[in-house]
Amino acid sequence: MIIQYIVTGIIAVILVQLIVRVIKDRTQFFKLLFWGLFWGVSLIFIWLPTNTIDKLGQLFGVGRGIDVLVYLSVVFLFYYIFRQNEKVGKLEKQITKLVRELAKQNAKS
Amino acid sequence: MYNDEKMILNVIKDLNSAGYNNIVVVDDGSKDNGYDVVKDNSNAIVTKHIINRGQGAALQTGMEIALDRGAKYIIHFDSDGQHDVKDLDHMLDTLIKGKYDIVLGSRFIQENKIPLKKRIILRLGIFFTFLLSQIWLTDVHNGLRVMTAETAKKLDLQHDRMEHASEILDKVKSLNLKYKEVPVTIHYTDYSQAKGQRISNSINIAMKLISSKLRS
Repeated sequence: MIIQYIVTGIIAVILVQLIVRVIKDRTQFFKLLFWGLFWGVSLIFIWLPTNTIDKLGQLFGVGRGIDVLVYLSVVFLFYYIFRQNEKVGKLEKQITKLVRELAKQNAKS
Repeated sequence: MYNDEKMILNVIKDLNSAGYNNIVVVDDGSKDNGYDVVKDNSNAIVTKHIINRGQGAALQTGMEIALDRGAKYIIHFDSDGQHDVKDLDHMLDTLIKGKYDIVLGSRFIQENKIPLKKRIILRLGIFFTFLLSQIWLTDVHNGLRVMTAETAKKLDLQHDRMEHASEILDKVKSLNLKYKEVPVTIHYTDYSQAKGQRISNSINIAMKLISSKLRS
């Protein structure tokens, strides 16, 4: 199917970008490991024969295997957004604290 | 204070002439020269948030500075000229004589010319505050407040932006503070209207309050 080639192409671009970034900055190695694994597993799923994935779906009682993946992705994304939101909120609080401390030190009468 | 360089000196002058001389002005990262204007032309204590953090954050900074300098009573007074110094003596009097922890200004008790759209939104805000904090008031987003130093210490505002107004009411309830609403005059000038809260922002405020309520 064409879609398999398109998605594979996109993932290849993402992986190349990741590798380039890690070459520039080796401290990001674990990021490469995590995302490399993530995209690698995705690739496997994309190229697995359809009925193999569907067996996975039946295992979960969802019917089509691809639906399992879509459901999991949505759950993961929502959780990710939630975590990011929390993080931003915490950062905002810290910024306010910093700005306030500076303001208090520089108060002039 | 946020971008109020044209108004702030009038506000300070009015406060001074009414006998209120211990003023703390917090410039919340304004783009204009309000900070310098106040520093060079008044006796107020002035400081600056180097980046904009919102009204709640600015109030908290101002309260901490006032408390550090030994304030006994603290008044929240907007910098855009919408409040009237004539209300202050009465509010402070009510606070002290009635031994209240906090006295809140309300624009609805007495006749004020409030634009209709704003009136509806403020009414909804009242209902919403009741749902969230079980406290029924006639005006929930009025910036004019008078409180004791003890109350100011307890409030410890965590919401940096407009949600602080509801946060204060929530804490009035949860900390069991003794409160009273008194009628105040609000001057809806073109200036304060142009600068005031957009009505669309009320949804935003509501969402943030619900989410923080769920978390606590």
